[in-house]
Amino acid sequence: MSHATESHSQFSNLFSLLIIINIAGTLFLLGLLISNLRWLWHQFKKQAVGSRITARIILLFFAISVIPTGIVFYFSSQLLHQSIDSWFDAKIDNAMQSSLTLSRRSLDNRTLSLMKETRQLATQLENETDIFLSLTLAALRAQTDASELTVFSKQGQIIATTNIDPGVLIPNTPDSSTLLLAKQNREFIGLEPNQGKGLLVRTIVEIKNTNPKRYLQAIYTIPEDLSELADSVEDAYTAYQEFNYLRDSLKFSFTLTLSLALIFSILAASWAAFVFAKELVAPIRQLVKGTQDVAGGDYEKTLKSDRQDELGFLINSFNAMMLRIASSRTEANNAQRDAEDQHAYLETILSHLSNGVLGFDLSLRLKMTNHGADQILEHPLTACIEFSLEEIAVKCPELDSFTTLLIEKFSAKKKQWQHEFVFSINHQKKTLLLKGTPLYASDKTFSGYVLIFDDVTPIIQSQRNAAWSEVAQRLAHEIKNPLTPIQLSAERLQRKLHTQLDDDANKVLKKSTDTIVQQVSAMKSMVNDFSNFARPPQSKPQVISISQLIDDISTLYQGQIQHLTLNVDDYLPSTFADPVRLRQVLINLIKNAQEAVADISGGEINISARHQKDRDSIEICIADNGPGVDNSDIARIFEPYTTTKDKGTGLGLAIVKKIIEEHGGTIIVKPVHPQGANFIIQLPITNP
Amino acid sequence: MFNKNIKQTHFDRRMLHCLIGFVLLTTPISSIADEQPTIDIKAASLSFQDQTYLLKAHINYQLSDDAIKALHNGITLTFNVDLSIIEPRKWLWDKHRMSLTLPFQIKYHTLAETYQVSNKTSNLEHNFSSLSTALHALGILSDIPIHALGDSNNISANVSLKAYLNIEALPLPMRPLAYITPGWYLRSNTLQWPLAQ
Repeated sequence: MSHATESHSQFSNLFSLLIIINIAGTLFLLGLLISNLRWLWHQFKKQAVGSRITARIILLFFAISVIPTGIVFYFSSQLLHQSIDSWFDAKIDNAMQSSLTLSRRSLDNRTLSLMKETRQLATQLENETDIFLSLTLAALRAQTDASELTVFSKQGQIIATTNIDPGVLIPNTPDSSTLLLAKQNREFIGLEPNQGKGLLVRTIVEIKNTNPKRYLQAIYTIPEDLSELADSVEDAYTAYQEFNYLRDSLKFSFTLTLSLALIFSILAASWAAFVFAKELVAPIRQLVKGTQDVAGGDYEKTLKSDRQDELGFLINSFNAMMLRIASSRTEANNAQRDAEDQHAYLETILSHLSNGVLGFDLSLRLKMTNHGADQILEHPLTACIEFSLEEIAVKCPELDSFTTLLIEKFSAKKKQWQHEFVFSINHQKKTLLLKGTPLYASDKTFSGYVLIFDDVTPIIQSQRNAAWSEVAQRLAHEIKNPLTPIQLSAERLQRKLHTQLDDDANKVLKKSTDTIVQQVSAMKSMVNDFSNFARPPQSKPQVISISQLIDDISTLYQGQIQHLTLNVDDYLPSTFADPVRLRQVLINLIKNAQEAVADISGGEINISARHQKDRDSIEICIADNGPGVDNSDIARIFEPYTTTKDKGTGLGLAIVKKIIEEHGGTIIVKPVHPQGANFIIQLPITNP
Repeated sequence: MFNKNIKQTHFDRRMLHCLIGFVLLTTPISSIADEQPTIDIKAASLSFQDQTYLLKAHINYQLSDDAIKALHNGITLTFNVDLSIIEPRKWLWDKHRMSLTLPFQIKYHTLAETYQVSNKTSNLEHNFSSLSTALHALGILSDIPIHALGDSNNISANVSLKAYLNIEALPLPMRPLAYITPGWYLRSNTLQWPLAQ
């Protein structure tokens, strides 16, 4: 109790400062808490990661801190209030009051006797003049127990004084109110504390028969033992009274302290909960962000953490996992890049192969094709990927026999097979050499089929041409030799027998020899053709303008052909070719066309030339609306000794084709609707 | 012996003022506005005699009911009289050349039924039979030597005097309530006058 009300302890001096620090700390924590709550509310509204966990932790911490501290606060408060109330009791009150009264009564008896003594002293001072007062007072003081005797006037002016202590020069004068009471009542008696040294009794009595009025003040010191007892009672009573008075203040003070402690601890716990929650949620938030980044494709993501706890371990595990994922991804990328490179390599090879390559799965669906296959089959099979062979046959009817053969071959055996296949496409007869093989995966499982085929038509054609050249060369050699003697013999017969025969016989002779000469001449011409076919003159290529060449040749036929139209591109590029032999080609074809339209009315020949940029070639077309070529002849029309005309050796188109092929080009014939034929030359643009 | 009464402005004092300011801000203004000043400095002077400055002042103390009740219940009330020599400055805040606090106490002696007024500087005590006499005696400051001031003849300064109840000297449990109770706000206005040359 005394400690609680002690005013001079160190705690007492710091009490207000501590209260201020507490309030400031509480306000600071409150500010922090409000700021954190606002942050949490924003996070919650944004549904940020970890906001729910944070809210739960805060609520949990709050509940954990509020409930026990609240209970402690309530019971502490109750205990303090009850304890403080129990310190004060009516009996103690009465006892204290009684002890004070007892003390007063005890002192009153003494003071009354001292008052009587003062009155007697005052009686002795009656009629005493001021001059001798000092001496009289000194004598009187020696006779009594008074420590000080003073005589003063009505105005309080000191007339004479004497003290037991000679060193005290100034007497203990009464205050104005005491003096006033003394004047009013003619006497005064009062108890006073004596400068911290016990008690003293002040008595003032009016001195009778004095003019002007004089008052005697006698000051008595209460004996030390009595003073100590009185002081003890006074101190105890004052202390008890003070405690009693401070009862409510004590309750308020303790309640305030407890409340501050409660609020401070709750706020501190809440703030600590925020700190803890943030510390806990931060790595979780990092992990969520990391997983989101990974989901977004960022496999280089690594999280930073200095924590040594389980969450730090989790982050380290995440980083290790990311490292492994990144490593695996790099390896996968490398493998994929290698596979793509391999694929591109194979595709490049396949696309530049002149051979056709087709890949099928087990259900004979087309999985892969190449440019060579498209060219040989003259159909864009790239558009038929994932088509079955039946579907390809439906889409491309010309390939019906081809697909039928493949179905038959692939269905029959799973071993490698080879087959020579002849079929017509776009009015051309082609001979293909097919080679089928089963396809095995890396695990040796049967996974499909591969067909590799090549167009061997040019090879067969060249073999045939070579054979024909040999025949023609022999024929020319064997036939040409006897022709000149035959011709000379016939002319000699006519010359020798002309004079010996009559007219009729001469006529017969002349007719016969002329016929022989003509036929021999015709045979020579035929033999020359054979000779040209077998051993063409040496080629002399140079840079020529095809448009100029067509223009020159068409000029020759301008008057001979009724309807000759030219349709040549304005900017036809030049090419490196033999102009003489190309001229032979064009003349041959125009002459054929001229002969084809000779017997029909409205015969028309159309010569066109255009630049084909995609193939880097020049396409020359010579079309007529003559009888055309039978489909059966189209395939063999360029072979030697194949002709639809009544006259002719059948070598013209063979020579034409040979010249074009010598220039690296191709020539085909296509029927024209409703009638006619169109010879199409593809001549590559070459440079010297 | 007077130097020990010279107090600098301490941190806790400032904090205390902050608290008082906070309390005053939170206390309804009307309750203070209705209160009359309970301590009034009627007159004050600082004279220079015999190389020493002597302070004379007449301060009228009027205690509130709360204070009287506390006094009669054994609580000692401490009134401080703060004397400051302030040198006004044009651009900076005023310079406090000297600050002196003169503490006085009044308490009630239950057994003797007297009021004891003591000057804590001189340790002199006087007993009074009535409160009004005691308060009157408390407010009379006659020729109190201010040795700490020294010779300040050549400076242009103002003397500042104020008296107030020292709440920090009250018993510990009373202080929080005293700070927020208007009845305990016993404080005079600050009286300033030029220091006599």
